[in-house]
Amino acid sequence: MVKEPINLYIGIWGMLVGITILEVLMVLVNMPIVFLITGVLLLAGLKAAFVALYYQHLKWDDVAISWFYLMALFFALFIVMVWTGGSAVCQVEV
Amino acid sequence: MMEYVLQIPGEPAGTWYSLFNLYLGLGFLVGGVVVGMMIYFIMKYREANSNEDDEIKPGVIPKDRGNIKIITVFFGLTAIILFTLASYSILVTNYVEKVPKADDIFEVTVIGFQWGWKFIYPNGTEVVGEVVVPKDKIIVFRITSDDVFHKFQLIEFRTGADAIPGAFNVIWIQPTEPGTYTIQCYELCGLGHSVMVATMRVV
Amino acid sequence: MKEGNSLLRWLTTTNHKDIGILYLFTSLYFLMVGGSLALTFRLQLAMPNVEILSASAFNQAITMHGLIMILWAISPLAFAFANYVVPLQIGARDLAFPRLNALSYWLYLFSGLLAALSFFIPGGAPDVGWTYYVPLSTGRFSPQPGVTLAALALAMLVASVTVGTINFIVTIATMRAPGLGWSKLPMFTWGILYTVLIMLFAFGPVVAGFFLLTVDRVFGTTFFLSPEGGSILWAHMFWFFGHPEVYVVLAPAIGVIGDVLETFTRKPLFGRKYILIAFGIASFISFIVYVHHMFATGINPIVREVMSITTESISVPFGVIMLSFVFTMYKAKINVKTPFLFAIGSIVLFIIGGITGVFNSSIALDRFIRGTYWIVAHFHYAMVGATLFGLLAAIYYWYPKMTGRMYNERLGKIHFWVAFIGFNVLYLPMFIIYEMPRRVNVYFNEAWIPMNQVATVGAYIFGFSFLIMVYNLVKSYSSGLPAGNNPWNAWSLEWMTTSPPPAHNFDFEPVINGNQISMYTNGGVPEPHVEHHTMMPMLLSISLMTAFFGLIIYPPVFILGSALLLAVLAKWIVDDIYDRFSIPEPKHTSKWPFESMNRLKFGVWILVISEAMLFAALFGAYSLLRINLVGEWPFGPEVHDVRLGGLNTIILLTSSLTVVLSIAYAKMGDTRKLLYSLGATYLLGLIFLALKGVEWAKLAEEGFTLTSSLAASIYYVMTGTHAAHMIGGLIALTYIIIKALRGVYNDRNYQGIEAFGIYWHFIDIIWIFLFAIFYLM
Repeated sequence: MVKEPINLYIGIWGMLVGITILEVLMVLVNMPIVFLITGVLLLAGLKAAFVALYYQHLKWDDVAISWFYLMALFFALFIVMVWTGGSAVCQVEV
Repeated sequence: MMEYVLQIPGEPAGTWYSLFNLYLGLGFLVGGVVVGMMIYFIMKYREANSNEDDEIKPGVIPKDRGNIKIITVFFGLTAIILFTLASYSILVTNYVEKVPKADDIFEVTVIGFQWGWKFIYPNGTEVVGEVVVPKDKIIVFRITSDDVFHKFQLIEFRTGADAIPGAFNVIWIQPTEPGTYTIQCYELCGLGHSVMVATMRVV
Repeated sequence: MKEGNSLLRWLTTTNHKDIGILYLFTSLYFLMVGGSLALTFRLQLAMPNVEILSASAFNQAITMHGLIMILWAISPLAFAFANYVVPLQIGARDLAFPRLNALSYWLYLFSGLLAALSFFIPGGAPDVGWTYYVPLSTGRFSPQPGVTLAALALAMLVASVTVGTINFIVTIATMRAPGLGWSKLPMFTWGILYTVLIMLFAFGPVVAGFFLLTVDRVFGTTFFLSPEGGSILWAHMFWFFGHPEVYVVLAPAIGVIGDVLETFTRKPLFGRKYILIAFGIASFISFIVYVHHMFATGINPIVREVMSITTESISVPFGVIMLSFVFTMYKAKINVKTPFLFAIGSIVLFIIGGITGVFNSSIALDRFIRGTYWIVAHFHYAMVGATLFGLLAAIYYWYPKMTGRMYNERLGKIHFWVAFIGFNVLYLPMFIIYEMPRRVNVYFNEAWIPMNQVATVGAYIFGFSFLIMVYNLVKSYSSGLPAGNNPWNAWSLEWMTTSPPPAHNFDFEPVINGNQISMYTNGGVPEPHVEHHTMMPMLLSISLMTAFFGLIIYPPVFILGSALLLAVLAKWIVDDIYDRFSIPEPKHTSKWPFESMNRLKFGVWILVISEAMLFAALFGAYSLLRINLVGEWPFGPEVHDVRLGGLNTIILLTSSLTVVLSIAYAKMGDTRKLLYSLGATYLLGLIFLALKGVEWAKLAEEGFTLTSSLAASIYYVMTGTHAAHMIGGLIALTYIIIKALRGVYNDRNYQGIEAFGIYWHFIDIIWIFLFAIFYLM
C-alpha cells in the first residue's frame, strides 16, 4: 500500500481556507473596484486550480484528462468574452 | 429574380450584386471543377476499365496513401479562394455598414410591431405601412421593435437589419430609381408574420 | 441474452446491436413524421392563394418539422449505426455502460413522443420556429403550454444525448482491441468520436438557455423579456450550440463516406491522416463561428467581423477533406454499388451545400440573405443532402451485416436516382427564388409561385423514394440472398464476424499486430461476456415523460409520474448496491492516453465537462446581463452577507477535504475513518444547504426575490442550479455510504468514491466562482 498523502490534502485545505479569508478581507478593505474584481477572480482561479490539481487528482493522472478541462475553460472564457463584447451595450451605432 | 438584377434601384443593391456574383462565379467554378473531376475519376477508374490493384484486404488495416505536397495544394487553393472572397467581403461590409457622409441625410425611424411597420419621419409624422423617401439622397433607417424580434428587409435594395426590442439598428440606402418597393419582415414573429409588409415609395 | 423476438427482449435489452436497431426504426419513424409535416406545408406553399393550413397550423408544422428532424430523426439515425457498428469496429463486446445505453434510447423515444404530444394539447404545438427566438417564445407572446412542453422534451433528449456522449467517449477511448491505435481506427468510428466530442461541449449552453426560458415562462423572470437580456442573450445561448450542432449532424455521414469509399474504390483513403487532422480542426473551429447567425443583429462589428473570418476559414479543412475523398477515386478500382452511389451523392450535395454556405459567411451578403430561402436551401443541402444521403449509404452498406441478407441492388440504384433527382427538384428552385422570405404560409409575389410548385413536386418525389427503400429492405429481409460475413470484402473488424454477429460479437479475441488484425482464440474460449436485461431504463423514461407532461398539463398525472420515477430510481439504486449489473473492467485493451482511467472515473469526468459547459453559459449570461446593467447592478457585498458566504465557502471546501480523506482511508483499509469522513461530508453538505436556505430567506425578506430584478434572478437561478447539483451529489453519497456500511470499499475497490469525489470537487469549484461573482463584486 502506498502511503496516502493525507498531510498534503490537509495542507491544501489550509491554503483554500486562507485564500477564502483573504478574499473576504479584500472586500472589507475598500479598494478600487477594478483591483477588487481582478484580485477576487485571480484568487478564485487559484483555489479552483488547487482543487482540480490535488483533490481531483489531475496532477497525478493522465494529462489527456486535463486537456478536456482546459478545453471547457477555454470555451467558458470565450463565451464570457464574446457574450459581453457582443452584447447590446457594446453595440456600435454608425 | 432576373428583373431585379436588370433593374438595380440604387445602393447598396448594386454593390451587393457585384459581391454576390463574385461568390456565385467562383462557386460555380470550384464546384464544377471538383464535381467534374470526381465524375471523371469514377468513369475512368470503374472496375471494368481499371488496371489498378485491389489494395483493400479483409483484416488488414489500409496503408497510408497520399502525398503531403498534394494536400498542401488542396489547402493552398482553398485558402487563396477564400482569402479573395473574404477580402472583397470585408470591403463591401464596411461600405454597407457605415452610413456614407452626406449633408442631407434623410432619417426615418422604423418601429416593427406585430404585425406591421410604423415609420416616423424627421418632422415627427407617424405613418403605418408606407414610407415615402426622396430619390438620390442617403436614406437612413433606424430600426427597432415594439414587441418581438422582427427583421426589416428592403427586398429590392438587398439590405436589412434585425428589429430588436430595446435596441436600434441602422441601415442606409440611396435609391436612384423612383418607384414602389417592398418591405417585409424576415424573422418569424407570430401568426401575422407572412403579412407583415409595407411599401416604400421613392419620389 | 434472451434470444427470440419477444416484446420483453426488446423492452429489457442492453445489447448495443439491439439498441442500434431500436434507434434505426425509431429514427425512421420520426423522419416520416417530420417528412409528412413538410409534405403538408409544401402543399400550402404551392398554392398560396388557398388556405390549406391556417397561419397557426403552418407555424406549428414548420417548427415541429425542424425540431423533430434535427433532434429526433437525423442525429439518432446516425446513432443507430454508431451503436451497432462502433463496438464491432473497435473489437469490443459492447459499449462501456450497456444499461445506460438502453437508458439513452428510451429517454430519446419518450422525449420525442413528449414533443409530439404537444400537437394534441390546448394551444397546440410550439409555433415559434425550431430556433425558439425570444421574446416570441416567452410567456407574454406565446402563452400556450406546448412551448414549455417541447422545451422539457428537449431537456429530456439532452439527458439522453449526454449519457450517450459519456458512453461513446469512454468506449472508444478505453475499449479498443489490443494494438488498435488511434490512427488505425476506421473512419466511421472517428466520425462518431468527433461527433460526440462536439456534442460534449455544445449541448450544455442550449440546455442553460432553455432552462432560463422555462424559468421565465413559469416563474415570471425577465431574462428574455428585458432589453438587457432579451433577444441577444437568447441568440448567443442558442447559436453557441446551434452551429456546432450542424456539425454533430454532419460528422457521422463524413465518417460513413470514408469507410464506404475505401471499400468500393478498393484503395486506402487519400491522406487519411490529414483528413482526420482537418476534421479535428473543423470540429474545434465550429465553436468559434456561431455569430454568423447573428450578423444582422447589429452587435459589436469587431465580434461579427472576426467570426466572419473564422467562418470563411472553416471551409479550408472541409475543402481538404472533400478533395481527399475525390482523390481517393484516382487510380482506383471502383465498384459502383448502392452505398457508393449514395456516398457520391452525399459528396456532390455537400459541395453545393458547403459552397452556398460560404456566401453566408460574408456579413454584407448575409444581412440580406438571413431569413430568406437561400438559407433554407443551403442548410437542406448540407443537412439532408450531405447527411441523409451519407446515412442512406450506411443503411445499404451495413444492411447485410445486420440482417445476413443482401438487399436488391437494382432497386437500391433506382432508389438513389429517384431520391437524388427528387431532392434537387425540391431544393434547387429555392436557390432560384432565394429572396423569398422563409417561414411564410402566404406570399404576394406571384413570380415566386412556379418555383414553389416545382419544389413541391420534388418534395413528393423525394418522399416517394423512401418507399422504394422500405419495400426493398423489407422484402430482402426474407428473400434476399444470404450475405455471408463479408459481402463487400471490406477490411474493418465488423466484417470479420458473422452476419448478424452473435450477442458477444466475436468468437475470438481481436488483436492487432502492425497492420494485421488477428483472431486470437484463447484456447477456444472467448473472454466471458456478461449480458444484462432490465426494464428500468424504459420505466424511468416513461415515468419522466409522464411527470413532465403532468407538470405542464395536469397535476395528478405529474404526481403519478413522479411516484413511478422515484420507485424506479430506488430500484436502480438497490440493483447497484447488490452489484446486479456490474460488468468486469475489460482486461486487455488499448487505452492510450487514458492509461490510468477506469470506466467509472472517466465517465464521471465526461459528465463533469458537460455540466461545466452548462455553468459556463450561465456565467456568460451573468456577464452579459451585468455589463448591460452596469450602474444599476448592486454591489455584491451590499446585498449579500460576505462573512456568512465566506463561512459557507469554507464549509464546502472542508467537505471536499473529507471526500479525499475518505478515498485515502478506503485505500488504507480503515473502514471506521472512511465512514466518519463520508459522514462528515454529508453533514457539511447539509449545513451548506441549510445556511443557503437561511440566506435566501433573509434576502427574500429584504425584497431581493427571484423576480425583483435581473441581478436577483440570475443569483437565484445560478445558486439554485448549484444547490440542485449538490442535492444530486448527496443522493449519490447516500448510496455510497450504504455501500461503505456493507464493507464494500477497500484498497482494490475504491473507484466509486473516487468517481463521486470528482463530481463533488467540481461542484465545489463552481461554488468558488459563484462566491466570487455574487458576494465579492
